[in-house]
Amino acid sequence: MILTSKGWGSKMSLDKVTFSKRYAKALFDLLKADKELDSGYEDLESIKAIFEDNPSFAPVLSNVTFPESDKAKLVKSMIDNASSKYIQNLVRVLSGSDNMDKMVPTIDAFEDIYDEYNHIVKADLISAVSLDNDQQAKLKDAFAKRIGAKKVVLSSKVDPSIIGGLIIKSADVTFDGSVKSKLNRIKQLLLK
Amino acid sequence: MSIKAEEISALIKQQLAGYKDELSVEETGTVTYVGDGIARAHGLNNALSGELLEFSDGVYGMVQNLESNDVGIVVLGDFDGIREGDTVKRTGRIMEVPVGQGMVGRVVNALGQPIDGKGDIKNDGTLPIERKAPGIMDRQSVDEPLQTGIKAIDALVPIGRGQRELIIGDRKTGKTSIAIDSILNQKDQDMICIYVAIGQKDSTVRSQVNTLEKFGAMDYTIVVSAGPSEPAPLLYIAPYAGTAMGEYFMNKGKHVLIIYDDLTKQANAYRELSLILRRPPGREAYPGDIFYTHSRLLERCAKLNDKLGGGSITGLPIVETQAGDVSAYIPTNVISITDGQIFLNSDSFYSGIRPAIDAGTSVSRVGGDAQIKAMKKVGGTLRLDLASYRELESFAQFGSDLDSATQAKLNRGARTVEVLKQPLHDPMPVEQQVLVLFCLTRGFLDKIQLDDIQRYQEEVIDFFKSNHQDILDSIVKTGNLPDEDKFSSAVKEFASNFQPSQSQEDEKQTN
Repeated sequence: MILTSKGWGSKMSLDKVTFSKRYAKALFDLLKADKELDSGYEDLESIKAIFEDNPSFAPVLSNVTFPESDKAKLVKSMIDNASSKYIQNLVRVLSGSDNMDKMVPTIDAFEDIYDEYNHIVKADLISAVSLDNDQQAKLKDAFAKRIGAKKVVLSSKVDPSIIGGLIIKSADVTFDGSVKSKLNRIKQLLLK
Repeated sequence: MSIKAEEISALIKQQLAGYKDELSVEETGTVTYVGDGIARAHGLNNALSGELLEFSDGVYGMVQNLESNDVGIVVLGDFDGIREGDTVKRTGRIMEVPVGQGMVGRVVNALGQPIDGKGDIKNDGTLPIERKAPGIMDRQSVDEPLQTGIKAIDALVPIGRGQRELIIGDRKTGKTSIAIDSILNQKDQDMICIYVAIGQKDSTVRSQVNTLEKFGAMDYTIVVSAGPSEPAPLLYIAPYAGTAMGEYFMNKGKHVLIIYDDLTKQANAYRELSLILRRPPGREAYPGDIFYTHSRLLERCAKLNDKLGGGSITGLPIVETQAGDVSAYIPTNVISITDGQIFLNSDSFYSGIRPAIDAGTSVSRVGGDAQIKAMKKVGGTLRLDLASYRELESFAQFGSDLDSATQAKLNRGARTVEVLKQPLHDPMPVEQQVLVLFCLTRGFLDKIQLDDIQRYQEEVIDFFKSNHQDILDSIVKTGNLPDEDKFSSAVKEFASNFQPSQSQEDEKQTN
């Protein structure tokens, strides 16, 4: 194993975050200036899908024992698939500087900027029972109104331990209306 | 005893009256690192420095570092239950401790929670532990004495209410004893005392509390203890918490005495958490703001002006030195912050001079104004006497033939040292101190054998108590020295009846 990804604890991953934020910001500004935001976004999503479908892909690309020529081949297919020249360049720059392990964080950071720009809010929904599409749609509308977003992308999860109600987690804010936390509050009141 | 269901349900109803069914909206972050009493968390973009956070298992933390991508948090409690990936939420409050009259007589931890097993504390609200010190216009100069009951301090390095006086010395030189004795002497003085034990062994704190209870001093004392088994953040905040408790009383116009025992350990705890938070180390590996850590704490000791009630906080920080080295980092820092220092000398301590106060290096920068006039008159020459005694002492060891003036100085010096000795937990009221020092400086003790000095002191005090109580009372009431002729004749009256001890009689006969 090499030490790039995990070796020195939080400091290293901290750099990763800063790094990806910087690249994402630069990429966003370029794409915005050329009005290629949406196509660029799609390109990035497909690149991200490659990394997510093949968990060993990123470690291989940053592994020094893996021949450079083979790496170049892997990366080339990625470049060919991208329609935007900025995305192509991003892949070249990252692979050239041996930073392919930061590809996914960069795409994530880009998504954050993109969402903020388009007033899209991503949220995790936790409920005790699964909700049907109609209920989710209503919830989306209500939530979008409350936080002033144009579009809400929900990823729902079922967790019976919350007993009833809903928990919505979005960015840094948690909206907790679950029966479990209400019971906890009652418990605290009684124990006072 | 029968239990009535209605009563219970009424009680429960009452307790639940405060419950509101509402959606809780909280700003949360994710823990990315935890260890050694600190945690890092992503998110929490709006967190404030010093804000209190709550981890998912109910433990609290305080924001220390705000960085570009995460926040550094010191965990105020057990960090074993916190895992990577846990949520941590903002509380919107800054760190506060309970304050109020109900705290008096209790032993609490750095968070103000009782640890003496006497049940809940009825507090009168809370105060933030970090507060800005009173400003220039809110203060007035220190002019009231704080009597420690220790002759060597009250005469040589007097302390005023609102002053910060450092107690410094090697380990086992009686630093804590001076502090505890000072608390004991505040009985019936309308003072609130706060003893902040930082990193002191729990057994030591226990015995201090026992001492305070034995002498009835817990009636006006709060003990704040952050023991060595607690995480470093609690040791770090303990003195601030203690000061917040004191400020409550100061703002009510009361006088408060706070003892920080000791700031060396607080500095070590702060160094520990700063290093783990990856702040750059400076001299002796202390972080860059170690000076500010102590200066902002001690600056909160103040004497408020009359408009604000005239309350005060007197601070007695304690600093431990290594082998008498006062030029180490923390000692020099704290010496430069405080209004003087009491230096305890381990050599004197082991040669039996206790309290082992080094008269040459101990100073009080404001205390002189806060001495009662009588004490100023009788104690004025003491420092000089001691200085010349120390100077001559070394010469006297070589030569045998000394002129009478030198002999007299040596004589007086030896007696001064003897008079300033004082047993543990035996504070002496100021009028008795004036009486004893009057006898010394007016030469009544010069003829008394060294071994008899302690007995002479006790007997002269008893004599005045039974025969001349009016003189003692007038010192207390006016603060002035009584008519010298009257005072002298009273002492002479006693001296004529004083019996030197038998052993010396024998000596004279054999000579």
